Amino acid sequence: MSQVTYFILGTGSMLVMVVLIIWFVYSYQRKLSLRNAEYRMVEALMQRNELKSAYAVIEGQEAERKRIAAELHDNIGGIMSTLKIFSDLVTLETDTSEVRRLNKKVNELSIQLTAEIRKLSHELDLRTLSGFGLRVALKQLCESIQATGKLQVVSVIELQRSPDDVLSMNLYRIIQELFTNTLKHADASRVRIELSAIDDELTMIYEDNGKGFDAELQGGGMGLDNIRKRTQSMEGQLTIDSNSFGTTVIIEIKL
Amino acid sequence: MVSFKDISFAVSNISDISEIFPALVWIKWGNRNKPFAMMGLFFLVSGIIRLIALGTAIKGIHNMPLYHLLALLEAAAVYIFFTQAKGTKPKTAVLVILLLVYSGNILFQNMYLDFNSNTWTLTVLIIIFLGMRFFHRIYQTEESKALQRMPEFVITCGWLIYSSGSLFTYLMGTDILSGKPEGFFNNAWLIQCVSNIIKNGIICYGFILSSTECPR
Repeated sequence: MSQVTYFILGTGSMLVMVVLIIWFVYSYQRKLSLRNAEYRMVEALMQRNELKSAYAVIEGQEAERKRIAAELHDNIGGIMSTLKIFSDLVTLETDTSEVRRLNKKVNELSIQLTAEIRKLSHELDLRTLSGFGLRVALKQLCESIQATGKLQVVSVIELQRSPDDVLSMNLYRIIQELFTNTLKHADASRVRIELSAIDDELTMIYEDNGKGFDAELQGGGMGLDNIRKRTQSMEGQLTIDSNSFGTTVIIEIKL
Repeated sequence: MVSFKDISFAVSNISDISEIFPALVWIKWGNRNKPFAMMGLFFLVSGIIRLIALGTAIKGIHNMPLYHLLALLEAAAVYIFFTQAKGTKPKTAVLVILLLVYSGNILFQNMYLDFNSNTWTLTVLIIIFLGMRFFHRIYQTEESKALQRMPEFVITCGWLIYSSGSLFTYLMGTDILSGKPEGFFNNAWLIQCVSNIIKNGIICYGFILSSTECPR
């Protein structure tokens, strides 16, 4: 091999390698930028889809409101009108036996009205839960409690997917019961509720800043008893910690 | 006046001494995890061998057996580095084959005291092959890490520049080193030395990068 050939090949191969590396860097960076552009496109698409599902939820809620209005007007409104007629008749009637009969009717109607309202309320819970999932149902519950002005509610709900219907219903009822207890007995001003599902474990933490209670003494109370039974039915673990600064209830469930 | 031979000798000495710098950088800042640990240890051994080779050369003692050993160590270390960078275990069989091929070549060709072009050429061909394969793997991977944040990529670049710059020097190594170091051809070791210095510089940077970009 001549000296010139050697020199050309020796330095040439090094230069070729440098060019090859530069070309590789260029191709790789180009690939990265293309991939980033694709990611951005997918993100935009997902955002649009999220908006669409948000619109769907809003539309669903609107339809639900209309259905409730119709239910109130047609069913409960009808009973209320009848109730008013009977109560008007009571005020006008002088005959004692007739007054007694009318009062009986008013009593029956008020029982029917209570049952209808309970049925509607129960149906609404179920519809929200099955239609929109536990997250939306809990958000609504927290909003409605907050709207009463009696409690400041902070909710942190991190659920990657909604738990099954039975579990959702049990959790929802437990949280409802806890809210009822706080409102009735705790004299609290703040409630914090945290619900998270990480891997296969669901954790619910409910805290209020009320005056607390003695969990041992009130162990047999109806509300707490129901919470215990529901937790047991879900094969979960219930921890209650209560003192004069507030109450913390933790429920852990294996999914 | 400084002759071409003087320049060639100076660059060759710098090249030998520069081999210890990646080891020093690795000891000071480098990542101790795979695959950098193997590379760091290799440079430590290689740096010491080259310093010994430099000392023996100055004293006029034959040092070619050291270079035979170095060729084998270089091929083995680069193989282990790229295998570990890929996330797999190096195969003992491959290392045994390398040992057999390298020692067999020296034994059967009776090249104890000569520069063994064959094994050195094989070493740089192995480096080029493994380096290219690693580039291909980086390109195919789904990970979107920037190249400037990949110390493995930087180290591979160093090895590729070195191997491409050394290829023809090693091919012609026996001829270049035979006879007196006079004229262009017999001083053409220069190209290899320059590529070696560039490699060591780049690998130093790769080791520094490994301290910040890879988990320790």
